[in-house]
Amino acid sequence: MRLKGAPASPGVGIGRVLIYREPDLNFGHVVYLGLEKEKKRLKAAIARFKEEIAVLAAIAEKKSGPSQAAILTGQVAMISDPFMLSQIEELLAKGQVAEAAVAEVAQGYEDMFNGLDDEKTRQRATDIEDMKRRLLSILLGVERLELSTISDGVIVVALDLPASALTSLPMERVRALATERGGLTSHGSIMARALGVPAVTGLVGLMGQAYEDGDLIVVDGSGGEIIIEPTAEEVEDYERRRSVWKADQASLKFFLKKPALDADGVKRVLGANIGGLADARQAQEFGADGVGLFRTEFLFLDRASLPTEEEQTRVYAEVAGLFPDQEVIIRTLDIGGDKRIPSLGVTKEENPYLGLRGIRFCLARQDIFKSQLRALARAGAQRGNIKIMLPLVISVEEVTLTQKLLAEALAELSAEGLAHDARVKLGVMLETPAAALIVDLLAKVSDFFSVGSNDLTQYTLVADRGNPQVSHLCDPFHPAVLRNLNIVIAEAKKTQTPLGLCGEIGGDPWMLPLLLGFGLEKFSVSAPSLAAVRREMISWSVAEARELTEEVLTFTTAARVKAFLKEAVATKTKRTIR
Amino acid sequence: MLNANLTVLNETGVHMRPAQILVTKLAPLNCQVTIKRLDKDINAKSIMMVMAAALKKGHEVEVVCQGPDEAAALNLVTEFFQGVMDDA
Repeated sequence: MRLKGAPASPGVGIGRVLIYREPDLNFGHVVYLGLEKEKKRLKAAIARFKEEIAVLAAIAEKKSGPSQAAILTGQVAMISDPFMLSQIEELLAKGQVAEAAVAEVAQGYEDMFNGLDDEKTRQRATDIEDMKRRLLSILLGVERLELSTISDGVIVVALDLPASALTSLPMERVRALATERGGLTSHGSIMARALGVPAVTGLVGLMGQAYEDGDLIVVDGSGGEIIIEPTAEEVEDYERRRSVWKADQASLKFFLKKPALDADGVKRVLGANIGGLADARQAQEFGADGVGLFRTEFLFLDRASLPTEEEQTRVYAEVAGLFPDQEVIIRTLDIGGDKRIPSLGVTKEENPYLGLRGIRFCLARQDIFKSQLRALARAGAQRGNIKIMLPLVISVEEVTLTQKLLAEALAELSAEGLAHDARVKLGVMLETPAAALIVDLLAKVSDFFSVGSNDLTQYTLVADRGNPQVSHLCDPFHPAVLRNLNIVIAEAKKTQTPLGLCGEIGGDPWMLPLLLGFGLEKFSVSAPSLAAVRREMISWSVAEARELTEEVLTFTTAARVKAFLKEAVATKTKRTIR
Repeated sequence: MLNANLTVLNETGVHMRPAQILVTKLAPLNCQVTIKRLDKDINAKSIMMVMAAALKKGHEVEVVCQGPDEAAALNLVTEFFQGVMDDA
């Protein structure tokens, strides 16, 4: 059975499950011993806390360097905070047991940090929680699972992995990590990436699954999924992927922060596809040339109310600030299809992929759309590097209607005296067969284009990529899709409209030479794929890519195309691909 | 009592590491140190409160020191916000 989560650290791990559960820290049974005795218990626990951390930090420093140790010594600084200690002692004086006082005060700080605007500080809430749990387990005399004694090759499965649990975890013995909670920036993911341990986070329902310590499991940190009870074929398939991945590791490191060059030495623009601030930071860390696609849905999902214009402005501006001299292309709300927002009261449709989604939804809900356009224009005030991109366009009218709405928004902002980018660029995603056939017409009303290859593929082939019964038909190497890409890129170039591609096929080693052959100059892929794409890119000159492309366009089936590319790419790059 | 208006010049703001340095250096000094920003009073000897303030480069703050070691404390805080201790 497969569970889908977020790819937190690339690579493949196959191994035996080790379930990590935090100890029971319930203190309802603890009896108050009087102020002096409670103070004494607290003091002894803090002393023990500092000893434990000193040992752990020394191990962490040796195992993963000073930055990991700093996270732990930071907890010593926190627990020594005289102001916080005075708050705890106040509660002791009021008759609370040490456990209750520590829990209440720490919770107050966790809430305070979680409520902050600044994401980096917000992440510290995890450290506070971790500090609280360690101190409580010491006070209660509860054993914490001794992770330092785990056996080789295990896959650690947990609800969440707090920083101190991770530091006592001998990563060289861990094959992979899978957690139910946690996003891309949690300590666990950062550490997993730093140490090259595959990890998937955000696996909803993970802890409720029926498996035990020692069961076989597959973690695909690149694809963001795990396989529980894998079949023999699946194990074999992933063993192969794992060996390729391991061989790739060393050579990839070289391309981590290099510019994207082709074999002719020409620099290609290689941006990142992001879904939020955490991705944006990762993209910056991996040296992305700006953002080719910012999916704004995350701002709207998983919440009871719509995000305010102010909140949106702040997030967009923060991302733009990470890439001050590069373009940041932000796609307007792309709701509908597989992404639904209950709070918007969107009605269930018979054919959601052919229904009210993308720009259609935006134009149907102009209140939401306009506040997003205003936020985007405002966020671009400082650097002028934000560009607005419209999803699922099929007609010129959709663009002109948006232009009108944008003009209104800009006029309002001027009248209100709010700083904004009055010349903010408006572009169109080429991801429907209709758009592909009227590229020249859309060029008259668009500042730029971006090919959305995922939707272009499924709409060209009329196959839902999320439907397991037909998803195999959704093959970007189908001759129809290749022709479509060829035509779209050529038509866009004829109109001299700036053009990029923001689908995941840009990161496919077989597709890359074709895209270069079609004449594409600008790509955008997810942050973890950046280094791999740069490595492929440098193998191809435009002349070679064109030659290859011309031959591929004569083939009649996707299977033939792939067989040919497998051979050609492997020969070219002298490496085994997949 | 001593006070001064300062601008935060710490390149990456005052996150855990710099905050740790500030409170560690202020701890032995016998005086109260308050950082004021936008109606908020931040106890500069509390790493929790300093981190929660999420001070960033360019922020304007007022620093108030009160107690026997106030001169030393103000010197220290002034130097800290120039960002020179960040790599310590």
